[in-house]
Amino acid sequence: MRLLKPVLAGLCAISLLAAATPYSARAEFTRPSRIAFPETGSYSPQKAALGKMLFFDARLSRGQNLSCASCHNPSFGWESPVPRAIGGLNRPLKRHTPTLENLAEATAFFWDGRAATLEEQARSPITHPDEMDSSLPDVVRRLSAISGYRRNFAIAFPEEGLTETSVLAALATYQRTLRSGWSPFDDWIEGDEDAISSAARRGFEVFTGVARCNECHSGWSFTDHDFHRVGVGGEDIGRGLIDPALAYGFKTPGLRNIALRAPYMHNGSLGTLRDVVAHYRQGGTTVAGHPSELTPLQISDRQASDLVAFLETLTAYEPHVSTPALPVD
Amino acid sequence: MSIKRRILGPIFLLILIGILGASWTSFAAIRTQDAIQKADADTLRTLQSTERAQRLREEIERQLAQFLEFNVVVPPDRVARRHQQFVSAFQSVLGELSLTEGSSKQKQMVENLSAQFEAWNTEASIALGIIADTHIPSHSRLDQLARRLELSLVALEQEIRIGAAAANRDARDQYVRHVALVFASMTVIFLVAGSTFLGFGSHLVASLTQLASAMERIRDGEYDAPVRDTARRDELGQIARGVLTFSHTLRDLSAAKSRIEHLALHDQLTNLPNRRALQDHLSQCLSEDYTADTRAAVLHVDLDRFKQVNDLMGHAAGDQILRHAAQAMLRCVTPRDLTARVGGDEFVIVLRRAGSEAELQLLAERIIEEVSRPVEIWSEFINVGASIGIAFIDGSESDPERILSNADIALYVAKGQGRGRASFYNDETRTQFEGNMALLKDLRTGLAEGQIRAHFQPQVDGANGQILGFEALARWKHPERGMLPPDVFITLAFEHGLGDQLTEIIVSDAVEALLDWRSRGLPAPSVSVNFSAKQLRDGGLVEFLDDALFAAALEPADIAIEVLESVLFGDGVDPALNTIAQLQARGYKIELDDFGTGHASISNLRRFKVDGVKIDRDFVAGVDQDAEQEMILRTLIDLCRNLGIECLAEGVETEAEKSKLLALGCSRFQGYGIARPMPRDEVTDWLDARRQDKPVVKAV
Repeated sequence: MRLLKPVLAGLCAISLLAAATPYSARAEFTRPSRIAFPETGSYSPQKAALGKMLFFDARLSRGQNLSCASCHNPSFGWESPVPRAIGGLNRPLKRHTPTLENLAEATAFFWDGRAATLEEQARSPITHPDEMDSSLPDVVRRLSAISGYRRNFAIAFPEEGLTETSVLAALATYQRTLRSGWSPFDDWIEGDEDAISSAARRGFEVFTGVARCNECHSGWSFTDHDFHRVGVGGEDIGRGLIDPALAYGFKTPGLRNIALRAPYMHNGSLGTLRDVVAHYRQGGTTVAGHPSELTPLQISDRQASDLVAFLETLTAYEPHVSTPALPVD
Repeated sequence: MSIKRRILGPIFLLILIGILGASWTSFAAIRTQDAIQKADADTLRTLQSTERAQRLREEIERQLAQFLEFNVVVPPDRVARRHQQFVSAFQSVLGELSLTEGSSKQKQMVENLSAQFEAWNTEASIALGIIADTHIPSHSRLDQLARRLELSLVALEQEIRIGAAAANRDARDQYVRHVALVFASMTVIFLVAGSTFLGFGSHLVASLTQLASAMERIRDGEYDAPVRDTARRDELGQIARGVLTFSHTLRDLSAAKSRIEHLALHDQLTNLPNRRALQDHLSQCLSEDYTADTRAAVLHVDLDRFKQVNDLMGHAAGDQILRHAAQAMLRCVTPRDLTARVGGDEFVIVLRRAGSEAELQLLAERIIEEVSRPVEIWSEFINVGASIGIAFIDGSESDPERILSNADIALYVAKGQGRGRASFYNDETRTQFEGNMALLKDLRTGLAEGQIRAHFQPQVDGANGQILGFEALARWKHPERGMLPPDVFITLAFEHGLGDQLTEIIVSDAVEALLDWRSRGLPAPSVSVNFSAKQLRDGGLVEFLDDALFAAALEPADIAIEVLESVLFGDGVDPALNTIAQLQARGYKIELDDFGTGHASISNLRRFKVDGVKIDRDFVAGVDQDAEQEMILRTLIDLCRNLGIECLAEGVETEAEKSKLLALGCSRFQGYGIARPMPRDEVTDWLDARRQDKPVVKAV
């Protein structure tokens, strides 16, 4: 591998010399080979597996009618295909379901970033009355009644066992392992020029060039994990709840599998990628009192459609996720 | 070295080399096949290992993926165990692969594979929680490593296949090199050995060809044909020496055969072909076709007086004469003609182109002339004559004996005509000859049966009518032809050796007649008998006459010997003259018959002092009418008188002749004017009558 790397790098360099996009521009989008786990939430496959079971288990909700996966549907890029997900009480929630992929490196969670860790984040939907409307002790109690869970927790958390903390840790661990799948764009980044269409390649040019999308949608997961005001409008002030300076600011979502994740924006107000592009092209909606960091983009229609073509290349070849067998007693 | 070894040696060598080459090639082929099979087996094994590795990789990946689906919570120890099972299995396969034969590249690839697997395994172990780490490899990372591993395995598999193909190719190349080496070596060996053998072979063939051609030439009779290689020590030398020896032997045998043939067909004295050769030649000649222009001829040459020379001077002189004659004849004919000696002094010439009769006559005369040239023998010049009988071969006669007989007849005729002549055969000649032969037969009978008797012609003295004597003359009373004169048969009798018998009869009759007449008291002084020169030469005549006279109690004086004056031709060595001298000494009277017609040597006439001569009737007849004849007669008579030799005239027929003769001084008469030849009894009567008529005679 040590030998191979410079060779590959050389090969890429040679191939990139002929390509429109310089290698340095692409290097930013190279996927990391590893997922960094925090010291406090160490990884084990048993924890992850247990987390996945919990993630798909509706028994975590009070009415046992809602699992994490109910809204974070893996088939829609871990989101819901509605502007705002329907909670446990059959009421739409305030915001559009955000994706769960590529969050291991994130430092803030929820659209407004009010949770600092995934463990912390997990607690909220379980206990939120609009959502699963349960409590962690209830969850622990309910799970403890199931021998399978007891056994699994004994395996995954041999010292700790089934506790509130271990439930959240298991869920966090599983979520950290969620990475968007390998996409045509990744192949292109790896040097396969024909992996994506010429329109998509042009779209990448626009994305990283004139449209400056990558100023926020940066890195391999196309997010800077920061908050920005993009003039979507509405009464939700987003980050402003925590940091008034960033009112109407929302956390930048990653763009991997973005084509699967319609509708878009924090409120699901834009139905298609084309709408999203149109939104950014015009520099966001100009609603009074809604600050926007955007300025109108001078791009052609073709460049706009190229952008869409590019975004579609971020969809993984194999987005399918199997569901676990849940213990029943 | 012997040819056998030189031929068989290289052949054995080449066979050996061929077997060695074939063995070598086969061995190389087998070894190549083994190498290919081993390589194939190794390859197969290695490929099976790689396939197993690939399978294991799939299994292990599948298991990993299954674990990382996170659908089941599996205890860590079980995860580790199950993972480790596959890892161990894979590592053992890797161990197998690293132990297999192969190129350095292949080994490097196995090493790389090992390293990649370790890298993958490390990452997988982290992902499976076997190795604790805060940085967990992502799916894509694991997939990436797994793909690399898979590709490496595929590449290894390909490399193994390539290596196997290369190994096969190497083995085949090695085999080709082996075969090429064998081929080159064998080619060189075959070239060297072959060219050596070829050189020897061509040398051998050249020698054999030379020998063969020499043998061909020897077979054709060229016994001195050069034979090479006789000094060689091998079989060829043996053959060559054999051929040389055979050729010499054949040459000697052939020479001996030629000599024998020559001897069988040639006369040794003259080196001319002999009678047998002549017959062969004639047969050959007769088988050809002849026309009048191309006819051949046979010349039968007989030497005259040869026997005389032989008798007088011995056989050595005779041989010299024969050689001379042979050379003389050869000078006259062409080489195409055959000259053969067929008997003592008889030669036959066969002329292939006879030409005309006149040309042949000229040739014959030339032969006679050549043969008659004098030969110097012991400082004495001697010559013989030749008579030639000529017969043509013109297709009318096919029997060689008959042809020779024809020539013989012609010769007979030539001799009969007088010697030194050539005579042609024709049918008349044969008729005449055959007539003679018939007559001869009768003559023999006649002699035996007493048909031939002596008649007597009186000789009287014309002056006084006195009986001087009688000449006994042979008369043949032929039973069919009546009385025959002597000229019909005398020559015949003498030619065929009947002369002595005839003479015997005449002498016997003469003696009896004398006795008879004397017993009757009739005047019978003597009877003269004719003898030939041959009889004089043969000897025994004196003894014969002595015996005959003694038996009859008569004296030599009672018999007169008449010989032709030609007897006196010869020189001093002629035995006839010797006999004459002896007869004279005994008291016999010698009379020369037909005096004047021959060419008697006057000196011999004087030397032998013959008792009388008988003047030939040619001088006498008509002497009374011809003065010149009278002069000759007078000279002859005078000569005799002067030499003191009695002189008798023959053929006296008329009184006028008698008178003239008397006038010339010759009174002794014989002839029809006196009396014709008569048988003894008639003579008796004639004498009786004459005794009574004596006065009458006196009156004449």
